Amino acid sequence: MKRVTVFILFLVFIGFIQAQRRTAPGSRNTFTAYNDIRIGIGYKPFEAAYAIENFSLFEMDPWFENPNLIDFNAKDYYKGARYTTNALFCEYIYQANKWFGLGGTFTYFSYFNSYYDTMTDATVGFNSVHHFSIYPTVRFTWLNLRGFSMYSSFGIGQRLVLQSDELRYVHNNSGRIGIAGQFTLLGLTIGKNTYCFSDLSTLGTQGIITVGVGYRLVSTKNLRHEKQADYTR
Amino acid sequence: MKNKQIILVSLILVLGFQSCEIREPETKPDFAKTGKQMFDRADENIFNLIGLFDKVLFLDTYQKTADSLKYKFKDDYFQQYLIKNPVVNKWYFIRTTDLDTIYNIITDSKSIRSVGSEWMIKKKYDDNFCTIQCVSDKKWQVKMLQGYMSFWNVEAELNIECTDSVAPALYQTGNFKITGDGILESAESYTQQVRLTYQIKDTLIHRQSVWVFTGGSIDVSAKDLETNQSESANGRYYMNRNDKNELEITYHNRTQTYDNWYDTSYMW
Repeated sequence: MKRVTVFILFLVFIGFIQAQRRTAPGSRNTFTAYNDIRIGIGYKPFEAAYAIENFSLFEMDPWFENPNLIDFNAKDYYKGARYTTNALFCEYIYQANKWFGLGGTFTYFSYFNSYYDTMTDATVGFNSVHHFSIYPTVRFTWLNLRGFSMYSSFGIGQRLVLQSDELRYVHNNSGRIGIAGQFTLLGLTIGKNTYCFSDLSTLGTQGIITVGVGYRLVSTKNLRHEKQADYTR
Repeated sequence: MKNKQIILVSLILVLGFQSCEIREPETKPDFAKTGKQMFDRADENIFNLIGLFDKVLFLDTYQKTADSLKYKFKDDYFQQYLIKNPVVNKWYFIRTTDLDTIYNIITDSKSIRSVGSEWMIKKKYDDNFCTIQCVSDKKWQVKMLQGYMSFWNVEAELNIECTDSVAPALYQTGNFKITGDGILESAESYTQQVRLTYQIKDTLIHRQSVWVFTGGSIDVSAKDLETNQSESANGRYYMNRNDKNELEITYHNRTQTYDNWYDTSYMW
């Protein structure tokens, strides 16, 4: 726990020093608060519960302990390849000052696969699991150059998981609530108002690498203040 | 710059809607698996009983063989055993590697090939003796009542008929037809509790020097005594066009073909 605290403090400190160099959206040295909206996709969304479940799944050979075994519940179907949509997300951050931003993230991804009959290979069912996640996000921008920035971010919240399963006309729907979040050690943006971004060393609901586009929107009220300040000067 | 951004955004959106495979398809399971498991248990039991019949036929031939040829005859077929006759009408098959008595045979004074003779044989760990009786010329009845074989309590009866003009020295070297039925029930409390019954529907055909049956079929049904689930299946032995032995399992009105081979160690 101490290490995490020290690490976060370190990031804040670095961010505080580096963020003073340049203003992201404009070219002036003064900072104007802005709204940052981005959409992106993440590769290999991570579901902790699923990973743990797979890790602990160890089965002994049933013949070892049961030599009379007759499997009365042998499967007459099999699962096809399982796919994911990858994580599709949108994020809003209010960049309050050069280094600190606060907002929220919404992420959606799903897994799906078909069931096939063992004899005919005909499709006999379908399984899909939809994950809807929402969590507050904090972003620390620790390098601000003209058209280029580097940041770290962290967010944790909730996910709603809806599962739909159909096998030989038998439907099963279920839902559960789980934890969701994303931790990014290194993310970068290229561009001024409209920019591209990528979270390179990241882990969480959005996956292990993300790419996307964003837009920095300076409110007219803030711009007016800025212009007024320029005029006075 | 604007064009580049539009291309980039489009690319990301297109990539975003591309699904990506995270797990390969499952290996296709055998739909007749349950039927095959049931059939295997019945098939195994029939071969266990035939294995006992084989020892008896061998011992009968061994007794009739001249002393000078006895050793060679034994080594030709059962090199792994020493044959001992400590008391009259009592014979032991002793394993050469650890000198453990594997088969215990009680004979009557007559040859097992003469009508009316009755011999008894017991394999190590089996609870009870299996009775083999010559019911008519070249016909035998193999009966196991309240027996125990490989984790099962067994009640079974096989009728074995030799189709050769002269009864062979061994089961392996002759042609036989087999009919009969049996009931198997789990004997150990730590295993699944199952009751399995089988009946030879079409006479099983054994050809000289072929270890597996080349024809015939068996009906099998099984019941899980804990869940009351029950299933039935049919297994048919046959030779395909290339003279390869195959097995056809019919389970839930669907048929699956398997190679038909047998681990002969069950019979030793």
